[in-house]
Amino acid sequence: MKRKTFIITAVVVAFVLATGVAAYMFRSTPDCVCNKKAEAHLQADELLNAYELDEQEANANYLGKVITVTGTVAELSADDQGRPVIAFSSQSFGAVIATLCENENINNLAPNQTISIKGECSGYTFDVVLSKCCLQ
Amino acid sequence: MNLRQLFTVIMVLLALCGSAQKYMTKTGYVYFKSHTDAIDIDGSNNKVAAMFDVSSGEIVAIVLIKAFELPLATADKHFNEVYMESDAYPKATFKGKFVNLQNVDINSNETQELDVEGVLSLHGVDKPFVQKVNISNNKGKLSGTCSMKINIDDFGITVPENVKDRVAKVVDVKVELTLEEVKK
Repeated sequence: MKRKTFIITAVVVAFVLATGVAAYMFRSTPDCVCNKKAEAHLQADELLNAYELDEQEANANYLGKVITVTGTVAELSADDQGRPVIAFSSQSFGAVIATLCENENINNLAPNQTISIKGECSGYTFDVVLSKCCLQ
Repeated sequence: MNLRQLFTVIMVLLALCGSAQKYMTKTGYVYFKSHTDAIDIDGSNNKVAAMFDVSSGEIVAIVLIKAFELPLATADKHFNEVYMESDAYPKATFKGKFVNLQNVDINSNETQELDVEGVLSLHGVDKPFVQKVNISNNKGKLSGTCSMKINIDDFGITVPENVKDRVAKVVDVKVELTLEEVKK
Protein backbone atom coordinates (compact mmCIF):
# COMPACT_ATOMS: atom_id res chain seq x y z
CA MET A 1 0.00 0.00 0.00
CA LYS A 2 2.83 2.35 0.95
CA ARG A 3 4.59 1.57 -2.31
CA LYS A 4 1.42 2.34 -4.29
CA THR A 5 0.98 5.68 -2.48
CA PHE A 6 4.61 6.55 -3.17
CA ILE A 7 4.26 5.81 -6.88
CA ILE A 8 1.05 7.86 -7.18
CA THR A 9 2.68 10.78 -5.32
CA ALA A 10 5.77 10.58 -7.54
CA VAL A 11 3.65 10.57 -10.70
CA VAL A 12 1.62 13.58 -9.49
CA VAL A 13 4.79 15.51 -8.54
CA ALA A 14 6.42 14.68 -11.88
CA PHE A 15 3.28 15.79 -13.73
CA VAL A 16 3.14 19.11 -11.84
CA LEU A 17 6.84 19.74 -12.45
CA ALA A 18 6.57 18.86 -16.14
CA THR A 19 3.55 21.16 -16.52
CA GLY A 20 5.44 24.01 -14.85
CA VAL A 21 8.52 23.56 -17.00
CA ALA A 22 6.40 23.30 -20.17
CA ALA A 23 4.41 26.42 -19.20
CA TYR A 24 7.68 28.34 -18.81
CA MET A 25 9.29 27.02 -21.99
CA PHE A 26 6.22 27.60 -24.13
CA ARG A 27 5.17 30.91 -22.61
CA SER A 28 3.57 33.23 -25.14
CA THR A 29 4.48 36.57 -23.65
CA PRO A 30 7.88 37.92 -22.65
CA ASP A 31 8.83 37.97 -18.99
CA CYS A 32 8.18 41.32 -17.37
CA VAL A 33 10.88 42.84 -15.24
CA CYS A 34 8.55 43.88 -12.38
CA ASN A 35 10.22 41.59 -9.88
CA LYS A 36 13.78 42.15 -11.06
CA LYS A 37 16.16 44.56 -9.38
CA ALA A 38 17.16 47.59 -11.40
CA GLU A 39 20.89 47.95 -12.06
CA ALA A 40 20.71 51.69 -12.71
CA HIS A 41 18.37 54.63 -12.14
CA LEU A 42 18.37 57.41 -14.75
CA GLN A 43 16.42 60.36 -16.06
CA ALA A 44 15.06 59.77 -19.58
CA ASP A 45 17.15 62.67 -20.96
CA GLU A 46 20.24 61.26 -19.27
CA LEU A 47 19.74 57.85 -20.91
CA LEU A 48 19.05 59.34 -24.35
CA ASN A 49 22.09 61.63 -24.09
CA ALA A 50 24.29 58.69 -23.15
CA TYR A 51 23.23 56.85 -26.33
CA GLU A 52 23.47 59.91 -28.58
CA LEU A 53 26.99 60.67 -27.32
CA ASP A 54 28.49 57.18 -27.41
CA GLU A 55 26.27 54.26 -28.36
CA GLN A 56 28.97 51.67 -27.75
CA GLU A 57 29.65 52.85 -24.22
CA ALA A 58 25.94 53.21 -23.47
CA ASN A 59 25.39 49.65 -24.68
CA ALA A 60 28.18 48.47 -22.39
CA ASN A 61 26.41 50.16 -19.47
CA TYR A 62 22.74 49.48 -20.19
CA LEU A 63 22.09 46.98 -23.03
CA GLY A 64 20.09 44.00 -21.80
CA LYS A 65 20.03 45.37 -18.27
CA VAL A 66 17.05 46.24 -16.12
CA ILE A 67 17.00 49.98 -15.45
CA THR A 68 14.63 52.48 -13.88
CA VAL A 69 13.89 55.57 -15.97
CA THR A 70 12.14 58.73 -14.80
CA GLY A 71 10.81 61.35 -17.19
CA THR A 72 7.88 63.32 -18.50
CA VAL A 73 5.27 61.55 -20.62
CA ALA A 74 5.11 62.95 -24.17
CA GLU A 75 2.78 60.44 -25.77
CA LEU A 76 0.76 57.38 -24.83
CA SER A 77 -0.11 54.73 -27.41
CA ALA A 78 -0.29 50.97 -27.90
CA ASP A 79 1.71 48.58 -30.04
CA ASP A 80 0.20 46.16 -32.58
CA GLN A 81 -0.38 43.63 -29.80
CA GLY A 82 -2.24 46.11 -27.61
CA ARG A 83 0.58 46.63 -25.15
CA PRO A 84 0.88 50.18 -23.74
CA VAL A 85 3.72 52.30 -25.13
CA ILE A 86 5.06 55.42 -23.43
CA ALA A 87 7.22 57.98 -25.26
CA PHE A 88 9.13 60.25 -22.91
CA SER A 89 9.62 63.93 -23.69
CA SER A 90 12.99 64.88 -25.12
CA GLN A 91 14.78 67.89 -26.57
CA SER A 92 16.22 66.01 -29.54
CA PHE A 93 14.94 64.00 -32.52
CA GLY A 94 15.06 60.72 -30.62
CA ALA A 95 13.30 59.78 -27.41
CA VAL A 96 13.11 57.02 -24.82
CA ILE A 97 10.29 54.66 -25.85
CA ALA A 98 9.03 52.13 -23.32
CA THR A 99 6.77 49.19 -24.17
CA LEU A 100 4.93 48.01 -21.07
CA CYS A 101 3.74 44.52 -20.25
CA GLU A 102 0.20 43.90 -21.40
CA ASN A 103 -1.27 43.83 -17.89
CA GLU A 104 0.07 47.30 -17.04
CA ASN A 105 -2.63 49.95 -16.80
CA ILE A 106 -1.92 53.43 -18.20
CA ASN A 107 -5.48 54.75 -17.96
CA ASN A 108 -4.48 57.13 -15.18
CA LEU A 109 -1.48 58.52 -17.07
CA ALA A 110 -1.51 61.67 -19.16
CA PRO A 111 0.99 63.69 -21.21
CA ASN A 112 3.23 66.03 -19.17
CA GLN A 113 2.99 63.76 -16.12
CA THR A 114 6.29 62.72 -14.51
CA ILE A 115 6.55 58.97 -14.08
CA SER A 116 9.08 56.23 -13.45
CA ILE A 117 9.19 52.90 -15.20
CA LYS A 118 11.39 49.84 -14.87
CA GLY A 119 12.35 48.02 -18.05
CA GLU A 120 14.99 46.15 -20.00
CA CYS A 121 17.11 48.18 -22.40
CA SER A 122 16.91 46.70 -25.94
CA GLY A 123 19.26 49.25 -27.51
CA TYR A 124 19.17 52.32 -29.73
CA THR A 125 17.70 52.94 -33.17
CA PHE A 126 16.66 56.59 -33.54
CA ASP A 127 15.30 56.13 -29.99
CA VAL A 128 16.36 54.27 -26.88
CA VAL A 129 14.05 51.25 -26.74
CA LEU A 130 12.94 49.75 -23.42
CA SER A 131 10.99 46.48 -23.31
CA LYS A 132 9.09 44.37 -20.76
CA CYS A 133 8.43 47.51 -18.69
CA CYS A 134 6.44 48.03 -15.51
CA LEU A 135 5.24 51.28 -13.95
CA GLN A 136 6.92 52.16 -10.66
CA MET B 1 31.25 56.31 -31.93
CA ASN B 2 32.52 53.93 -34.59
CA LEU B 3 32.29 54.50 -38.35
CA ARG B 4 29.14 52.48 -38.78
CA GLN B 5 27.31 54.42 -36.07
CA LEU B 6 28.60 57.70 -37.49
CA PHE B 7 27.28 56.70 -40.92
CA THR B 8 23.86 55.93 -39.42
CA VAL B 9 23.73 59.30 -37.66
CA ILE B 10 24.78 61.11 -40.84
CA MET B 11 22.12 59.25 -42.84
CA VAL B 12 19.46 60.29 -40.33
CA LEU B 13 20.64 63.92 -40.24
CA LEU B 14 20.83 64.13 -44.02
CA ALA B 15 17.38 62.66 -44.29
CA LEU B 16 16.01 65.19 -41.80
CA CYS B 17 17.86 68.29 -42.98
CA GLY B 18 17.15 68.00 -46.68
CA SER B 19 14.16 69.55 -48.34
CA ALA B 20 12.81 66.42 -50.03
CA GLN B 21 9.99 64.17 -48.93
CA LYS B 22 10.92 61.68 -46.22
CA TYR B 23 9.03 58.85 -44.61
CA MET B 24 9.81 56.98 -41.43
CA THR B 25 8.60 54.42 -38.93
CA LYS B 26 9.66 53.29 -35.49
CA THR B 27 7.21 50.40 -35.33
CA GLY B 28 8.13 48.26 -38.32
CA TYR B 29 7.66 44.51 -38.10
CA VAL B 30 10.07 41.70 -38.87
CA TYR B 31 9.37 37.99 -38.49
CA PHE B 32 11.64 35.00 -38.91
CA LYS B 33 11.06 31.27 -38.98
CA SER B 34 13.60 28.49 -38.80
CA HIS B 35 11.99 25.28 -40.04
CA THR B 36 13.49 21.85 -39.43
CA ASP B 37 11.98 18.38 -39.13
CA ALA B 38 12.74 18.50 -35.40
CA ILE B 39 11.26 21.87 -34.51
CA ASP B 40 10.08 25.21 -35.87
CA ILE B 41 11.57 28.25 -34.15
CA ASP B 42 10.14 31.67 -34.86
CA GLY B 43 10.29 35.17 -33.48
CA SER B 44 9.12 38.69 -34.22
CA ASN B 45 10.07 42.28 -33.55
CA ASN B 46 7.67 45.22 -33.89
CA LYS B 47 10.18 47.96 -33.10
CA VAL B 48 11.99 48.24 -36.42
CA ALA B 49 13.06 51.81 -37.24
CA ALA B 50 13.35 52.88 -40.86
CA MET B 51 13.70 56.07 -42.87
CA PHE B 52 13.15 56.54 -46.60
CA ASP B 53 14.17 59.56 -48.67
CA VAL B 54 11.95 59.78 -51.74
CA SER B 55 14.22 62.08 -53.76
CA SER B 56 17.34 59.96 -53.46
CA GLY B 57 15.60 56.60 -53.05
CA GLU B 58 17.79 55.85 -50.05
CA ILE B 59 16.48 53.77 -47.19
CA VAL B 60 17.96 52.82 -43.85
CA ALA B 61 16.41 50.25 -41.50
CA ILE B 62 17.56 49.32 -38.00
CA VAL B 63 16.53 46.15 -36.15
CA LEU B 64 17.38 45.66 -32.48
CA ILE B 65 18.20 42.00 -31.87
CA LYS B 66 17.15 42.12 -28.21
CA ALA B 67 13.75 43.44 -29.26
CA PHE B 68 12.89 40.08 -30.89
CA GLU B 69 10.33 38.05 -28.99
CA LEU B 70 10.44 34.26 -29.29
CA PRO B 71 7.54 32.24 -27.85
CA LEU B 72 9.92 29.51 -26.68
CA ALA B 73 11.85 30.67 -23.61
CA THR B 74 14.82 28.44 -24.24
CA ALA B 75 14.93 29.45 -27.91
CA ASP B 76 14.86 33.13 -26.86
CA LYS B 77 17.87 32.57 -24.61
CA HIS B 78 19.82 30.65 -27.26
CA PHE B 79 18.86 33.16 -29.96
CA ASN B 80 20.41 36.03 -28.00
CA GLU B 81 23.31 34.30 -26.30
CA VAL B 82 24.45 31.62 -28.74
CA TYR B 83 23.35 32.43 -32.30
CA MET B 84 22.94 36.21 -32.62
CA GLU B 85 25.27 37.14 -29.72
CA SER B 86 23.16 40.23 -29.14
CA ASP B 87 25.46 41.71 -26.49
CA ALA B 88 28.28 41.89 -29.05
CA TYR B 89 26.06 42.62 -32.08
CA PRO B 90 23.01 44.47 -30.73
CA LYS B 91 21.52 45.53 -34.05
CA ALA B 92 21.09 44.54 -37.68
CA THR B 93 20.97 47.32 -40.26
CA PHE B 94 20.14 47.67 -43.91
CA LYS B 95 21.37 50.71 -45.83
CA GLY B 96 20.46 50.85 -49.46
CA LYS B 97 18.66 52.44 -52.34
CA PHE B 98 15.66 51.73 -54.55
CA VAL B 99 17.12 51.36 -58.04
CA ASN B 100 13.99 51.79 -60.15
CA LEU B 101 12.08 54.33 -58.07
CA GLN B 102 11.51 56.56 -61.10
CA ASN B 103 9.44 53.79 -62.69
CA VAL B 104 6.75 53.79 -60.00
CA ASP B 105 4.28 56.24 -58.55
CA ILE B 106 4.73 56.17 -54.79
CA ASN B 107 1.39 57.95 -54.34
CA SER B 108 -0.48 55.08 -55.95
CA ASN B 109 -2.49 52.74 -53.75
CA GLU B 110 -1.74 49.94 -56.22
CA THR B 111 0.90 47.44 -55.08
CA GLN B 112 4.08 47.95 -57.08
CA GLU B 113 7.31 45.98 -57.10
CA LEU B 114 10.63 47.72 -56.57
CA ASP B 115 14.23 46.55 -56.40
CA VAL B 116 16.31 47.67 -53.47
CA GLU B 117 20.04 47.08 -53.24
CA GLY B 118 22.47 47.89 -50.50
CA VAL B 119 24.35 46.36 -47.59
CA LEU B 120 22.83 44.17 -44.91
CA SER B 121 24.81 44.17 -41.66
CA LEU B 122 24.00 41.27 -39.39
CA HIS B 123 25.99 39.60 -36.63
CA GLY B 124 28.95 41.86 -37.41
CA VAL B 125 29.09 40.82 -41.08
CA ASP B 126 28.34 43.22 -43.96
CA LYS B 127 26.94 41.62 -47.13
CA PRO B 128 25.76 43.18 -50.40
CA PHE B 129 22.03 42.60 -50.59
CA VAL B 130 19.47 42.85 -53.39
CA GLN B 131 15.79 42.40 -52.69
CA LYS B 132 12.40 42.86 -54.31
CA VAL B 133 10.00 44.97 -52.23
CA ASN B 134 6.26 45.50 -52.72
CA ILE B 135 5.16 49.04 -51.94
CA SER B 136 1.78 50.75 -51.85
CA ASN B 137 0.43 54.03 -50.58
CA ASN B 138 -2.53 53.87 -48.22
CA LYS B 139 -3.87 57.35 -47.42
CA GLY B 140 -0.42 58.89 -47.33
CA LYS B 141 1.26 56.03 -45.49
CA LEU B 142 3.82 54.06 -47.49
CA SER B 143 3.71 50.32 -46.93
CA GLY B 144 6.67 48.16 -47.88
CA THR B 145 6.74 44.38 -47.57
CA CYS B 146 9.25 41.78 -48.57
CA SER B 147 10.11 38.16 -47.92
CA MET B 148 13.64 36.83 -48.04
CA LYS B 149 15.77 33.88 -47.14
CA ILE B 150 18.85 34.40 -44.98
CA ASN B 151 21.60 31.79 -44.99
CA ILE B 152 23.05 31.92 -41.47
CA ASP B 153 26.46 30.75 -42.76
CA ASP B 154 26.72 33.98 -44.79
CA PHE B 155 26.67 35.97 -41.56
CA GLY B 156 28.98 33.82 -39.48
CA ILE B 157 26.18 32.49 -37.27
CA THR B 158 27.24 29.14 -35.92
CA VAL B 159 25.10 26.48 -34.33
CA PRO B 160 26.49 24.04 -31.72
CA GLU B 161 26.89 20.49 -33.04
CA ASN B 162 24.36 19.00 -30.59
CA VAL B 163 21.47 21.17 -31.87
CA LYS B 164 22.39 21.38 -35.56
CA ASP B 165 19.33 19.39 -36.57
CA ARG B 166 17.10 21.92 -34.79
CA VAL B 167 18.22 25.14 -36.48
CA ALA B 168 17.74 25.71 -40.20
CA LYS B 169 20.68 26.84 -42.32
CA VAL B 170 18.32 29.03 -44.31
CA VAL B 171 15.87 31.12 -42.30
CA ASP B 172 12.71 32.67 -43.76
CA VAL B 173 12.35 36.37 -42.97
CA LYS B 174 9.38 38.65 -43.60
CA VAL B 175 9.51 42.44 -43.22
CA GLU B 176 6.53 44.82 -43.08
CA LEU B 177 7.09 48.56 -42.80
CA THR B 178 4.44 51.27 -42.74
CA LEU B 179 6.17 54.61 -43.07
CA GLU B 180 4.59 57.98 -42.37
CA GLU B 181 5.70 61.25 -43.91
CA VAL B 182 8.04 63.24 -41.69
CA LYS B 183 6.38 66.58 -40.98
CA LYS B 184 8.66 69.57 -41.11
